Amino acid sequence: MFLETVGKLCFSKIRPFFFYLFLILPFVGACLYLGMQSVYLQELEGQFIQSCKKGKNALKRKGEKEKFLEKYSHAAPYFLDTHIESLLFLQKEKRALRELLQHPALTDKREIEERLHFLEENKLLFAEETLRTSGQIHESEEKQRTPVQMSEEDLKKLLCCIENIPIDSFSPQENSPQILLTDFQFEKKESSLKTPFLEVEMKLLKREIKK
Amino acid sequence: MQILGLQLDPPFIRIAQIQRKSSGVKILHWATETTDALEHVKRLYIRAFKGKTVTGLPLSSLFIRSLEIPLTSSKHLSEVISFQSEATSHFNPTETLSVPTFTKKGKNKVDTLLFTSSRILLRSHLQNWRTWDVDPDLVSAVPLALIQYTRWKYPALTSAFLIDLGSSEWSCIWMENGQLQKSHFIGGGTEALLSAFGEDRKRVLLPKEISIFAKQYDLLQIKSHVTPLLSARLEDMRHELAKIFCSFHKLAGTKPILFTGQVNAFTHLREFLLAEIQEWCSEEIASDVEEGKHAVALGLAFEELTQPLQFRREEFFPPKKWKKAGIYAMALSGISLLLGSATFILGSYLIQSQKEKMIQTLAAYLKQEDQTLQQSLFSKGGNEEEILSRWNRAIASYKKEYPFILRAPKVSELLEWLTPFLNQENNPISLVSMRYKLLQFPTLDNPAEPYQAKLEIELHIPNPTSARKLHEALLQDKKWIYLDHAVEWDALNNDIYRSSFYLKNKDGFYVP
Repeated sequence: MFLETVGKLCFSKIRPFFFYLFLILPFVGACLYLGMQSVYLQELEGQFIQSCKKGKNALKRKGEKEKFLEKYSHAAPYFLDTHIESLLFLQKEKRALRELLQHPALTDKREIEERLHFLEENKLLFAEETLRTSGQIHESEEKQRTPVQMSEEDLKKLLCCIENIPIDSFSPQENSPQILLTDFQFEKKESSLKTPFLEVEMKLLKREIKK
Repeated sequence: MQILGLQLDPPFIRIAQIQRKSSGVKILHWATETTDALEHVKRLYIRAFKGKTVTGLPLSSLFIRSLEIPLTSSKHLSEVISFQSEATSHFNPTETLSVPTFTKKGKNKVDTLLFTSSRILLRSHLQNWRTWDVDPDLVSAVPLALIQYTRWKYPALTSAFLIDLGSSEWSCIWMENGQLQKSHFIGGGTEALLSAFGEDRKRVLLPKEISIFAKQYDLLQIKSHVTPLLSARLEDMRHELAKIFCSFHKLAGTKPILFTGQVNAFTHLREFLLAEIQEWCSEEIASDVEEGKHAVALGLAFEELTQPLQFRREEFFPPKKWKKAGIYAMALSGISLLLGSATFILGSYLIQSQKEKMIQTLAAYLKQEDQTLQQSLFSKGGNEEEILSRWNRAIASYKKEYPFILRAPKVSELLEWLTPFLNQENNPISLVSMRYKLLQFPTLDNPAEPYQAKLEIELHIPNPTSARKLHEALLQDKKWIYLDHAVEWDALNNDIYRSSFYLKNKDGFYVP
């Protein structure tokens, strides 16, 4: 009885065309769904290929950032005081002048004493100008109070220390914060004793990163 | 396939069973039983029968019309016939059922025979057969069955007059080119003659003996005073027959004649009838008497093998066929669902495997490049889309370089770069002063600010040629100098030259 009802329903009450149309609906529905999924998959694959292309650089940038943060997150809190401002310059000239002062033939010592006195005071001193803090980063702009005199070797040592880069025999400090030279100038000059030196003046940007 | 042809010819049922094989048609058996012998009838066809059953409407239940339709397209043929049928007859379409048969005649004509029967008669026909538990697959027509039989028995005979001497009615057919042309019936049949004979001889014969004695009663020597009723009945029927054949002759001319049915109900019955119509018939075709009795049943079975006339339509459509249609519909629906599901599952599997392949590629790549990112992407779980989305977000977050990494050249690097220019053997150049300034750089307040550095140098160059060469070298140095901006070059006093230019940021990645 049920089968007769089904038969009548499919081939008599509705037109066979609609019955056959109904028959292909699941297949057509499945094909449509899969078509849409296929288009979506193609989009996904396109995005994946693009992201893989970009991914190589992005991962390098990520690694770069992580290395950068790792390097500067162990900075000594008073790095400028302990490592930069404590640097002594023109030590060779100082030793030569001290030896000269001991020489019995020297009659006029005043000029040499003045020069030695100057060299004793010839140190870097920075004044903190602007201070910025955001999250883990602490940033300050430092301005050199007075120009300092130094030799070329002294300059190499100083730049090695500030720019955190090995120069000749000088090696950078491990616990350095990030220091950028925002303004740096030097000029070759001669002292009153005809000794050559470099007069250096600079501004710094110091960044400390806390973990 | 086996086919059972069933003819209801009261008081008899005639049955013929045939089998169609690849080699041809084989007649399995035929039989005749009286309608009251119900069990005998059932035994004839129920016994191991698996096939189709065919019955036929007698001529007395049919109205046959021929229509000539000038149409070649079969698409609207049935609609045209249906319209013409209703327009050209006085029958109420709700009370009758018309079924056409087509014969193509030439290129643009279709000859149609329209078989019309009363729905009440058709219902009654099916009801009668239900008495013997028969639900025929096909209900055709007796005249077509006779033609089918003739075409099978005498393939060379294409045009003839056919007379079936049935028990209840005689059917007269004019067959032309193997197709039905005209048909008439004479009511009563041989049973009416036997009844008249029995009435004439009721004093000497028992009812059971009538048909046996009738077979021995020679109609060529019939005496009207001995069997008055039979003589009168015979004369009437012969007269009717003569009228029918006269009308056939007028249209068809003389044709061979074939007798089927109960030709041996009386001795010389054929000869007696033929005497009246002989002038319109060219010859009588000899036939097997027993096979001839079952000509209609055989013809009905043969009808199933051709494109049959089918009266079982509309409300008379066989319930078992509806059941078959239901099974067919269910099977098709099942196949459709199965196919749809299979397509869906297979397609989804392929798409999913494609996604998994992407994820595996990503996992392998990240395992090699960045295991922390791999763990952060995959440890949170989720499907492939979510992992890819997290990957895309991770990529987007590292779209730009970290702003606080210095991209401008360092002072020490610049001094190293300048050293080869200064230490020339013949033309010593000395750096008098230098100023390095970061004009722009990112801060916490403005992290998007790019790096831009400018260098200003004063050089002591005693040789003007060396000065010019140095100037040219600076103008061509794309690696260190940002050449989109001008490289300023001024000659000052005492062989002093001043130059200033913008420095190019470094392309490479940060190396701590």
